[in-house]
Amino acid sequence: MTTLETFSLPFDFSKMKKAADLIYENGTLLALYVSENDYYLFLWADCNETFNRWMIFRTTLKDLSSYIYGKMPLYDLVVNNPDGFVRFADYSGQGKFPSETLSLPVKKIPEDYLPDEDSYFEFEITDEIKNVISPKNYKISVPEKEQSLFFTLMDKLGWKSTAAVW
Amino acid sequence: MAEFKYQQQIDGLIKSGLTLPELFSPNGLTAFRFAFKDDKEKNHLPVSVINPSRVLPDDLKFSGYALSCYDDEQKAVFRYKNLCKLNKKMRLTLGDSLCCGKLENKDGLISEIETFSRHFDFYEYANCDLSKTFTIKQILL
Repeated sequence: MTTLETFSLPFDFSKMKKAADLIYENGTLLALYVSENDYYLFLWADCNETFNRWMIFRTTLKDLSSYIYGKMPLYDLVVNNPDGFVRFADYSGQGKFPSETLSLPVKKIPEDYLPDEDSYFEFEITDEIKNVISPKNYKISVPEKEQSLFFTLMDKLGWKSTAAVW
Repeated sequence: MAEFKYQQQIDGLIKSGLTLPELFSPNGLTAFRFAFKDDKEKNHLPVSVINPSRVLPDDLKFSGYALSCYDDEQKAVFRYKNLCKLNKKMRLTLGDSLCCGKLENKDGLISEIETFSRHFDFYEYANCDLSKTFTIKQILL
């Protein structure tokens, strides 16, 4: 397994809730977790006889949708992630997830761990994934004077249940 | 009815409230799987069984005790190439080859085959040993 020269950051996995397996092949390779209003991707990165290494990075719903619909490669989600760094966690598959992760600025991610620049999503868009990137998960604010028009449009689109007033 | 190889674990998931997906007899279906050409002891192990397990916390599910397979060689190769775009280490966990063999009804049951990817899960019966019936078809490096 590649040695990482990096620093340690606390990580509270207990706040994470799995939203979807984005890519699954004899087990998870790319999974989406949600913590409060933040979206995190867990990408399998490496392994040895004891651990699997996961690369964890934050993303936005907009970038995630662009990736799923083939408009943006995974590479872009990694190198342009909102934090400017990624975390690595070595996990045995048993017991608690590490409470500390190794962190690296995106520019220092080992080449072996980066997705290809043409790493577009060419996998099944499962119902689980559709549910995550559904419009109901977007938060937008509509000026009061335009709300009537907005809700009319939502009705026409059949998204009545997603309308909410803030 | 024959017991699955990981019946105890599957029973545990059923007891926890999960529902086993609908399964079908393979009827001699020709199946393709990713495999390791030289590290044969790593082949044909479900993700929840391999050590270290590639399972994230609190993420146990039935497919963790099944083997990923395809019924279409070209689709499997296409899938492998796409998976290898995720990073350059991917073959350490996927394998480096494509193996092939027939799944007989005495071997186990399969899930529904996905329309686009042609992927399905194979749930082995207790006496199934794919290492005796599956052979390396091509190297995928």
